[in-house]
Parts: sequence; structure tokens; C-alpha cells
Amino acid sequence: MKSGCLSLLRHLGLQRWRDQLRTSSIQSIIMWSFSLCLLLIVMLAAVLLYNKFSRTAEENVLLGTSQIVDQVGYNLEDYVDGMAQLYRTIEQHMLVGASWDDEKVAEQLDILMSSRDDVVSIALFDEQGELLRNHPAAPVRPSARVSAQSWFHSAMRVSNHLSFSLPHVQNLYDGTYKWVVSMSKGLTIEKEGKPMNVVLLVDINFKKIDELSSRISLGKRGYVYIIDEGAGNIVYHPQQQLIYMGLRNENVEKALTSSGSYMDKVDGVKRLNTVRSVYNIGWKVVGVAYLDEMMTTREEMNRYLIQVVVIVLVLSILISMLLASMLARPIRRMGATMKAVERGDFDVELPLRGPLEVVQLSSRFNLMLDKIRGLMRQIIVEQESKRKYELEALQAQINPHFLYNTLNSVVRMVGMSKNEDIITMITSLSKLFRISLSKGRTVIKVSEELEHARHYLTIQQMRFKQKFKFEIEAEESVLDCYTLKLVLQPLIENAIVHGIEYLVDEGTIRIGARLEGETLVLEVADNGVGMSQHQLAGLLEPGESRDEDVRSASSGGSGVAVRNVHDRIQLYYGVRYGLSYTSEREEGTVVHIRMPAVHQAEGEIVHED
Amino acid sequence: MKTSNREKCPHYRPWRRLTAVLMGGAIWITGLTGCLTSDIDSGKPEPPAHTIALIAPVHAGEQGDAMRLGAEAAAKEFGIQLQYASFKPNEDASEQLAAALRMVEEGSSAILIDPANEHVLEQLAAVASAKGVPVVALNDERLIKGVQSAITVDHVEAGRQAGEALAKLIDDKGTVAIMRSDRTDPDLDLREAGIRESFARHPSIRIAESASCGNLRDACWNAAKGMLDASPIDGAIALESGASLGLADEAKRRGEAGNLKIVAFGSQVEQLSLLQDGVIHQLVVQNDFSFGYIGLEQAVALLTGKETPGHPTMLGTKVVNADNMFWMNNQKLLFPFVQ
Repeated sequence: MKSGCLSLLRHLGLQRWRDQLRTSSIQSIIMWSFSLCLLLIVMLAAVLLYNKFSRTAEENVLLGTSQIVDQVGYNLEDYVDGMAQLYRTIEQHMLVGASWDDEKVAEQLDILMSSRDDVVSIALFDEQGELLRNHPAAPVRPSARVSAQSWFHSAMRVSNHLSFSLPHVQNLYDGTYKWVVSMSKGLTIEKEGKPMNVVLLVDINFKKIDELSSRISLGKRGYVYIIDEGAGNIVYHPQQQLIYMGLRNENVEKALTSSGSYMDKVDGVKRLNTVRSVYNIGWKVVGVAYLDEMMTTREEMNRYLIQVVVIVLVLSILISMLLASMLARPIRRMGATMKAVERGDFDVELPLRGPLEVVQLSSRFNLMLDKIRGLMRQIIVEQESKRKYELEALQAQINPHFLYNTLNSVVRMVGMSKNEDIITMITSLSKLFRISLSKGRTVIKVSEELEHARHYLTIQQMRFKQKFKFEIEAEESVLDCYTLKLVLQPLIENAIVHGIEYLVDEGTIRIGARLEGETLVLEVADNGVGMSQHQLAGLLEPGESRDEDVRSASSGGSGVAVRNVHDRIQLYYGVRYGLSYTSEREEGTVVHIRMPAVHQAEGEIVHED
Repeated sequence: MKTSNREKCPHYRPWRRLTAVLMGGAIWITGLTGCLTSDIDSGKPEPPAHTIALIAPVHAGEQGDAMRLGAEAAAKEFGIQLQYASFKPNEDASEQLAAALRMVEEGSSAILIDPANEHVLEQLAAVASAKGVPVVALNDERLIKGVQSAITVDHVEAGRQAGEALAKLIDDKGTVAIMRSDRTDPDLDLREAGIRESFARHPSIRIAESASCGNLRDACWNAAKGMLDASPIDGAIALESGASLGLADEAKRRGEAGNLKIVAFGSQVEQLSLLQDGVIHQLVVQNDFSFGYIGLEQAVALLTGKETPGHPTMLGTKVVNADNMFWMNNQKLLFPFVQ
């Protein structure tokens, strides 16, 4: 139950997050994901670098410290070796043939002393601690208690072995208390034939070792100290006083038992101790390095890495902001352009730049816009021509020229008292006009159109003095179909004016109406003079120049009227429909009008709307 | 077309401006990084190192040097620069004050001083506190105004130690004398009080007429001579090193070296030599190294705003004799310098 709730919660949280992601802008998605990516990479690199670097730093500290301590050890060893060598030389010069009282020996010792300023004094004692000879010659203080001194003890304990004392204050002579390391050895020599135990003491100044050790610094606070391997006494320590006072502690036991390096902690500070034995004197050099200051490079690196991470973060956010805005900008631009189109500004255009997809999209958009603009232009043109044709059709309804000619004929007939003909003519005229007007409708029944044609033909027949005959044939089914009105009249006029008028014989005009499938076909055929192929081709050609050609070739503008009929039909019913001519010179011309077979006056209603 | 262009522009301009600002920021940060990087390359900038001045006591060369040694040890530990003013034997309080004031003038962050007298301390404290420089008094327990910290030895306890030592040397009975200083020093008064307090616990010890002398060995010899001439005594305590030397000289002159039990304060080489030879029997010594070390430690504490004890820090003293003076622990205390 609980886990179910949890998963539901998690799911909800995830869902919300996902929703947020989905609803946030491309720009912010790109920006944040880029920044996050870069940050992760940089952090990873920083962590790896830090680890590597800190390891190296630690190793370097370890190595550096041990090298320094080793160096101190070597120096000390060399120094002690040198001193042992010196001791042997003194021993040879002084004790050969037990001739320490010799003047020559004194000279040699003088040379030795002057060449080595760190030899404080040379003294030879017998086994009771009585002075036999010393150099520089000075009385031994009675309070010195030679036989109680530690160097005397160690010389007497193991004879013929050179022993080094711990540094101590020399208290044999008046005047000075110098810190010395005593080299002593118990020897058995032949003096005037008798064996004799003597102790040769050479005191060397501790200053040299002190300086050697105090000069060493491991970092700012690090130091070197020396202990005696035997008892762990401190031979040298820069803060020896503090240790004696108890103000400072040095873990000598640890140094005594270990070799190499070890860590310890004093006052909460980690220290690296490096131990090296100086075998010839039995001392141990211990280097103490404070890790915190030796590791400052690591801290510096740490700080530097943090800086780098912060800077990279800032830069990455900046760059990703820039990138995101760069990527999102064309999309915004597109959006703004679309908005402009939405507001009705179709003249905008998207610039073709940016990434490939954006360019493609922009060009598609531009094409689409172009198409829309074309369509709109087309609509405007069509509307304009529709209106024009309607106006012209309206004008065709009352052709003043035709009316004038007809009325002239009527007057002539009245003069000839042809009453019968007058009645026919006037009746036809009135019917012609009635159908012509037909309550302002543009679409009328085929029967009415045929009626109109008949009246027109009747009037013309009378005007042209029976120069032609006419026939009207129509299928029954056609009569109730609808047609654009006044499509036949201009064609008939054309047939009379261009076909029949110049004919010597009597002409015939046939009007037909039939259905061809779903197509209504009206036909006007004459047996007049016909047309040349050139004229035929020019008849229905659109274009102003053609129009003018036709107009100049024909009289009375009937060519224009024929074109108008063709255009009107095409406008109303589409380009599939319209006029088609077949003509032969001296044979006649046939015009076919094709329109869709419309049985109900829907078009009319639509048109009226 | 034109109008639509003009409409478009305001949409994009803020973005461009923002981008420009951000780029500028980025360049600035990069520049900053460059600086920081160069900082790292050229090593950490040195922290403002404090300079602490140590004004040595007058008439006490070795004591001052031991203090210096301690102060140097502490200075190394705390990363402080130490300035040291020492004085020739013929220089006195006025030179010490002048040196101390010069150190304040030169911009020392703190002053450690073993004042020659109260006047020096007062003058210095007044000038230093006006400048906000803390003063730590060494070997002086007067926490006067302007002196933030003091380090001294427990003079009464030291006096007691000396008194007890002498009482033991003369087997709790006999006549003893005290060699005083001819100047008035509250520290010496405390020592004497301690001595007298300890003798009061030994009823068979009689305190003879005291003598007093200055820093000069010959003058003290004369004073000792006068004192010994006045009444025979079994033992004597010298409050100052000069007095102990004069007393020892007189004991040797009289051929009573060793018989006349001498207990003294100080750890001068002559005194130690006499101690080894058995002319002086016991020396009450203080650790001058500690003065320097603890003094500097407290000065650093004052500079870093840490708590310091409101009372003078009391250090212990040690009694050495010919037998234990060359013990490992005492050697470093008595002979701090490797020559």
C-alpha cells in the first residue's frame, strides 16, 4: 500500500516534471540540458583531475621529505666518518711509540687543530682519569670529575672501540662551556715496556651538527630532529627547551621503533614523520613535515578547480543561452510571421537562412503563402470579370442597335401596310425582351432560351427579308434543363452577320439542343461562308491582342460578344465547358455550347445569394 | 513589407542586448580568471607578516639572548617576523625606552619587553596603547594600563626555594645573610619576602645584617666584604647575579670557598662556573627561553584576538647544584647556546 502510494507520488512528480518539460520552450529546454551536460562533464573532469593531482602532490611531499631527510642522514654520516677518520689520525700520531710528550706530536696536533676548527680539544687520560696530555694545553678543572663522565665510562667499558657521546656541555676546562660530542676510545699501549690503559678523548664542536640540522626546513614549520637510537635521548631538536619544559611533546618512541615514514597527529595537525638511521653513530634523523602546509598546492588546486567549474558553468549557461536563442530565433520569427499572416498581412516573407530544417520549413511556408496570394489574386480577377460579363450581358439584353434596326423594319413594314408581319415582329420583339429580362435571373430554362432564339431569329428573318430559314430542334429532356441566359443570341447574330449576310443563296440556321450524358449541348449551325482556320483559332483565344484582332476582323463587336459567352460559361461552370467551333470555308460554321446538364435552378439560387 | 520589418525588430533587439551584456560578463570573468591563474602561478601572496619586537633586558646579555632564542622558536612556529633590540652593558633604562619607542614607531605589531624599571614600562605602554600596539611585559608582573599581558616567575616561590636550599645546606642552623640590590625592584622584594618566609620556618636560623650592591662585581665584592667583616655567617643568599659573584669572590679571598654556603639567583656563565667549582652551592634559575617563547605566543594571541589570561603568567624556577647541573635536562636550560 505504502509502496504503491510512493510509486504513485513519484509517478505524479515525474509526470508533472515531464509536463513542465513539454510545456517549456525549446529555448529553455536546450539551454538547461546543455548547461547541465557541460556542468556534469566539467565536474567529472574536475573530480578526476583533483584526485589525480592530490595523489601526485601527496607522493611528491612524501618523496621530497624523505629525500631531504636522507640527505641530512648522508651528511651526518659523512661528517661522522670524517671525524672518525680524524680520530684515527690523531690516535696514530699521538700514540705511536707512546710518544705523546714529543714536541713533534705537539706540532702535528697543532696542524690538525688549525685545519679543523670544529675540534675543540684533544686529551689523553689514564685509566684513573688523570690527564696525560691535552691539546690545547690547559689544566683540567678539579671539579670536572673525569672518571664520572659518560664518555670515559663508555671508553673503559668496551676497549678499542670508538664511541660517540651525546652532545653535552664540556666542563673540563675553565672559561667556556661548549657543546661538544665526545669521541673516546679505550686503548692499551706499551709505555716504557709496560702495558698501560689510556683513554683518548677528542671533543668535536656540536655547532656543526646543530647548524646542519637547524638549517633544514620542511615547509614553513617543518623541522628535523635527531635522536639516539640506543635510549631515545634527543640529540638535537630545534625546540629542545620546550620539550624539557613540557610545553611540547615529541613522540620519540614511535620514531625509535619505526623506519621509513609514518603519520602522526599533534594538536589536531597531521604530520608526516620520516625516519632515517645514521648507522655509524647510532642516531636517527627524523624529519617532521606538516601536511597542511605541504598540501597547500592541493588546496590551491582545489580553489582553482572550483573557480574553473564556476567559470565554466557561467560560460556554459551563457553559451547555451546564446545557442538556444539562436536555434529558437528562426522558430520565433516564423511564429511572428505566421501571426502577421493571421492578422491578414500576406505580404510577409520568411528569410531563407538558419539551419537546414528551418530553411526548408521557411521555403515551404513561403511557397504556401505564394500559393495563397496567387489564389487570392485569381479570385479577385474572376470576381471582377464575372461582374464585367454580367454587366455586358445586361447590356446585351437591350441592344439599342438591334432595337433601332428592328423598329426601322417595323416602320418600313407599316409603310408597306404589312400588318400581318408587323404583328409578328412586334410580338416577337416583346417576347424577346420579356425572356431577355426574365426577372433579372442569369439562368433560365433551355426552353425559354430556345424561345428567345426563335423570336430573335424571327425578327432577323423579317429584317433580312427571308434571306435565311431556321430550324429549332430540341430533345424533350433538354427543355427543362437550365442554361445561362442569352448564350444563343450572340452566336445567332454572329452566324447571320458573318455567315449568312454575304451568302448569295438562301441560308439556313439550325438550332439544336440535346444531352450528351451529363452535358447539355446547344448547337448553332449555319451554312454560311465559314471561317478560315486562322480566324477559327483566333475566335476563342484569350488575350487583349487577340480580342483586338477579332474585333477588327469582325464588325459590330460580335466577336467580343462570342468570347463573352465563352468566358461566362467557363466562369459559371468551369473550364471544361464553353464554346467550340467547327467551320469549313463555303460550307458553314457549327458552334457547340457545352454546359453541365442542370435540372434544377440551383445555380440560380446560389447566384442570387 | 517595411512596416512588418519594423514590427519584427523590437522582438529581437532585447535578446541581442542581453547577449551582448552576457558576453561582456563572460569576457570579464575570463579576464579575472587570468589574473587568478597568474596569482596561482606566481605563488600565494604572502600574508601580511606581523613583526613583533623583543626588547631585551638591560645588563643581562645572556638572559636576553635566551629570551630571543625562545621568541625565535615561537616566531618560526607562528610565522612571525621577530625584531630584537639588545643593549650593551653600559646602556641603561633610557636607551631601552628609546629602543622600544623606536620599534613602536617602525610599525611593530606587538612589543615584548623586559623593562629596566617601572618608568620604562609606563612610558612605553602609554605610547603603544595610543597606537593600538599590545605590550607584553616579561619578568614583570605589573599589569599596568596598556600592558595586555605579563609573564614572570613566581618570585616568592623562588625565594622560598632559595631559603629552603640554604637552610638544608647549613643543616637548619646558623647565621645567614641576604645580599640585596641597591635599586628598588618589587621583584627582588618578593624574592626576599619568600626567603624570609622560608627562614621563619627554621627557628634556629638567624638572619644577619644584609648588604646591598649594584651590578658591578667589584662593588659587590666590597659590600660582601663589609658584610662578612661585620659578623661571621654560615650562609648567604644573593638576590642578583652581580651580588653572588662579589660574594663568591670574597669567599674565595677569605679561603672560605665551599664552607660559606652561597645560594644565588641567575644562570650566568660565571655563576655556573662557580657552581661547578663548589663556591656557589645552589642556583635558583629561571627559564629565559620560556619567557621568549610564551611571551611571543601571548603576543600572537593578542594580535589574533584570542583570549589571554587576565593575570600574569607565572613560570616555575629550578634549583640546580654542582651535581645535577650537567644532567641532560639541565644542560639545555643552563647552556642554551651552542657555541
